[in-house]
Amino acid sequence: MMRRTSILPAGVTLVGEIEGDADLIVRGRVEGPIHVSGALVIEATGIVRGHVRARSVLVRGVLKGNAFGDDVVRVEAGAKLVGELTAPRVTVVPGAQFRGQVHVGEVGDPRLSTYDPTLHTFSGWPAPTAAEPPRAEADWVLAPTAELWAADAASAPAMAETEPAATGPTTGVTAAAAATATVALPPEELPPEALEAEAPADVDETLSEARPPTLPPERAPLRMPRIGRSRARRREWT
Amino acid sequence: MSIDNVTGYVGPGLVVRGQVSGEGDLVVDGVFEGSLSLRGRVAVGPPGRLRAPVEAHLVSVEGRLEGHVTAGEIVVREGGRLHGDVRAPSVGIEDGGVLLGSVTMDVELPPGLDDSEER
Repeated sequence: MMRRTSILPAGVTLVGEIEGDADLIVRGRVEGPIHVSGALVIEATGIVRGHVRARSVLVRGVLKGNAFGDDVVRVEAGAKLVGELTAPRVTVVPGAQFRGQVHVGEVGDPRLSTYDPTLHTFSGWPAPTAAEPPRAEADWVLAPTAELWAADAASAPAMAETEPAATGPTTGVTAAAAATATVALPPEELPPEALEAEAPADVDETLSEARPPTLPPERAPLRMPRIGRSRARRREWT
Repeated sequence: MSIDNVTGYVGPGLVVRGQVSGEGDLVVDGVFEGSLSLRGRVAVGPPGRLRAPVEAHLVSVEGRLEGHVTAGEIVVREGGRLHGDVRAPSVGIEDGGVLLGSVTMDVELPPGLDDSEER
């Protein structure tokens, strides 16, 4: 049975997190982390502030946060991205605005990236009320590689020191600089959504108009995972 | 409710936590927890679980919804369970649907039966 792709439509804002066994298209705004087992597409109108992980990550819109692809990360022309890219295959199409590091390799490979699974959760999110027995927490969270992640986290400080400084110009560096890391992606291997959706769009418009909504007072304030944390940490040491 | 490209969709297997706001329709066949405030329609599909206070123009429940609902129209369809207080000018509970909670609605009683002054 073909599963239908989940969609966050344009005009809708989520302050929270998304996870699960599904494909996801983001056309609206997400303030928070995303972790899906299938394909993730951030369309031209889509804005995501948070770290994302998926089997394949395709960015046409705006992503502020790190992208982890178990298969591939692809940044299209017109996309705006600030963060690190990690995947066995990383493609950045010239014309994309991109600032950050590129790691070509398996997610969780301690030599390549500092993947921290806790980046995908809100530490400050209140636990669901016990109106029903607690649901088994997402079993897809790749339990087998948990040790690998732990090892990764342990080696993170050493990694951070050897990383080249990522403080480039604040406005977009075209992906030409990252061209050496570019791996050509045969079109037939793109996720199906990647082929059918077109990518026009003026992202600036949505950027200025969509502000994060204010939270209702009764909720504990959200604490976003800190983006660019490794860089901040590095500053402390020097 | 038909699914098209402007309808938000939380598929089975997807878990969304947080606060959703804005304009548009949303179909939940997966799990949503948090709060939901949409200028549009919200449908909880048969496999869907929605645990959140909901504000929307129309709310249709075929799965499970836990939370207070404020809407222009609420329909609990066969197999649907709505656990919470609802407030809407139009509330429908179809045969086989369950609503656990109170319904708040303006009721125009004939003269002499108006109980608003007694309370």
